[in-house]
Amino acid sequence: MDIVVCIKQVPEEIVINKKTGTLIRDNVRATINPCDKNAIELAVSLKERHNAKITLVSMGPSDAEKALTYGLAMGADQAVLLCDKAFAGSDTLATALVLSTAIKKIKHFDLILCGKETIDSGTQQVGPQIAHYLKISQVTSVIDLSVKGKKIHATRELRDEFETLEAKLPVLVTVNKGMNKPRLPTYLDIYEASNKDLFIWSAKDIKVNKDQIGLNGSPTKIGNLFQPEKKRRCIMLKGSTSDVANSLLDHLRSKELI
Amino acid sequence: MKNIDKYRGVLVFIKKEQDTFVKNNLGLISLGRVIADELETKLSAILAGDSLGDLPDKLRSYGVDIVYTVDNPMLKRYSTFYYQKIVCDLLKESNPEIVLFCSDDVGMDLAPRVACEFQTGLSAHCMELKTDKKSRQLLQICPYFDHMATILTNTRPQIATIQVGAKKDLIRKDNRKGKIIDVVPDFENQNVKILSVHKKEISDQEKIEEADVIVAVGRGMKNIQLAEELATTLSGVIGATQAVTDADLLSESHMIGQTGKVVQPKLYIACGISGAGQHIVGMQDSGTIVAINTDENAPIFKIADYGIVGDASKVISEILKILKN
Repeated sequence: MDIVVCIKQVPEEIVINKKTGTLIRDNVRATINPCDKNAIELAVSLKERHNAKITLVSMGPSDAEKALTYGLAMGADQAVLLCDKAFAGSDTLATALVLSTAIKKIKHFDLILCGKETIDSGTQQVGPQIAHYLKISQVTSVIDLSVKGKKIHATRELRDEFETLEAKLPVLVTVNKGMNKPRLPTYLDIYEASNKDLFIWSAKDIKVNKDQIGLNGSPTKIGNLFQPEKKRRCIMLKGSTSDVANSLLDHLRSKELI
Repeated sequence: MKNIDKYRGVLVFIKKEQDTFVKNNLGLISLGRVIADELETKLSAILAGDSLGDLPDKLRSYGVDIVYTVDNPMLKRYSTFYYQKIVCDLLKESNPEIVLFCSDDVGMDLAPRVACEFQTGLSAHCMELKTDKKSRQLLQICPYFDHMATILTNTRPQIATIQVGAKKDLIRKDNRKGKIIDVVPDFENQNVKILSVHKKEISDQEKIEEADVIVAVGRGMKNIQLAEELATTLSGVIGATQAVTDADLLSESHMIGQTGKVVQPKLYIACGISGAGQHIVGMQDSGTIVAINTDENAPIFKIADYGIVGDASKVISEILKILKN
């Protein structure tokens, strides 16, 4: 079985430039997006039970090699970094095009795993869009998965219920954070990871149409960032802790809220 | 940009659940109606499900100009494949300029594939929509960390998933004599089948959308137990920011915001919450908002009715002391 896991390198901590409102990525330690680690863990645990080859794919700057190396240390077999200035500024549609085009180049895929959402944008869109580009089914928000021959059984966690589906391979699955406990690689794992293949592919390598990628090839644009309007006139309560507590309770009582 | 003028109208995606509409879907109709009025165009709805009964008529009375109904046993439960097919087929016929989904389990699974099929933009978890009448551009306003971002789509249709509040069913009953058009789907075999469904056991404490009082905690609230105590004292429930549920201090069912729940209690007490856009989107429509935070410049104060600059644990502890006497 060939498993492809799509991962994203994200800042370890969300630090915002207060003036511009944009995410600070420089000098902030980077890590694998949390639920992408769950996706890698799932792949590695499937490999332990079935005969499987795991390929990691990520689009990002050259620094994202670190995230891929970590995934290799967790137990993946090879990794592909999609790295090209032409990819910069891609929205979800353009990102999904780049990733799916690379997966087509990898050629063999039975199961594609993605984290459900990233902590730095959180759209949940890239997984389903990769599936659509590859013309395969998808199962989103998965918390449990087993492989039964040429099919999977996957349980989705929805708002009010758990839904278990059977899906034929190939299929793309997005996994929830906390579905499993990602293993911590040992020093030996990390050493061995450095000997595994990590390919770096450009836009030219995957033959993706340059009009459909990057900032200019993306149908959505982020306009100006702005501070939320001041929607209410906030009455600031002042004084000692006891003063403010009493004053607040008086206000709430007068409004019959407590 | 290719032939934008052939796209007209606003379309909302509505699904049946049990004998009524999916929670929050009616809020989407209200929003769609406002946008359609601004652009002086028609609002249509696609209503999918099994045994739709009088639901299409209800949609007409809520101000929908054209109700496309797809009534089929295969649509009883949501499936990506069938729903994608009916929505895409309908969009190809009707060419709306704007398509709106709720950002719920179904919308988040379905909208990305629809946008991909039409090679168009999709913005996630919008909290507000505006229009530019001249360009007919939809301004999709989404939380972006501490700020808000306006997303613009340069292709058509412009598709968005919307965080609609739990109680935001502001339906304008104007008895438009809208049209109902029955659509007969043409289904192929799908590769996914449902094996079983289990209802979640949800305790009253976890039904935070229904609560009148919510005491919510953020990273700045060191003593969550105190907040729980206050919630119990006020017959309310406890809520949390994503930072708190991510740290496993409270279960995800308490998470409020962009990727969590949208709540609208009568009283919302925000303890140690700075007020990042992702959280605000989930609680800004609460009745009365109290904010307690050490940073006087925290954005939460901009949307609060009462503000206290201080350590939330100390203030809550004091409030409990007073309430006990």
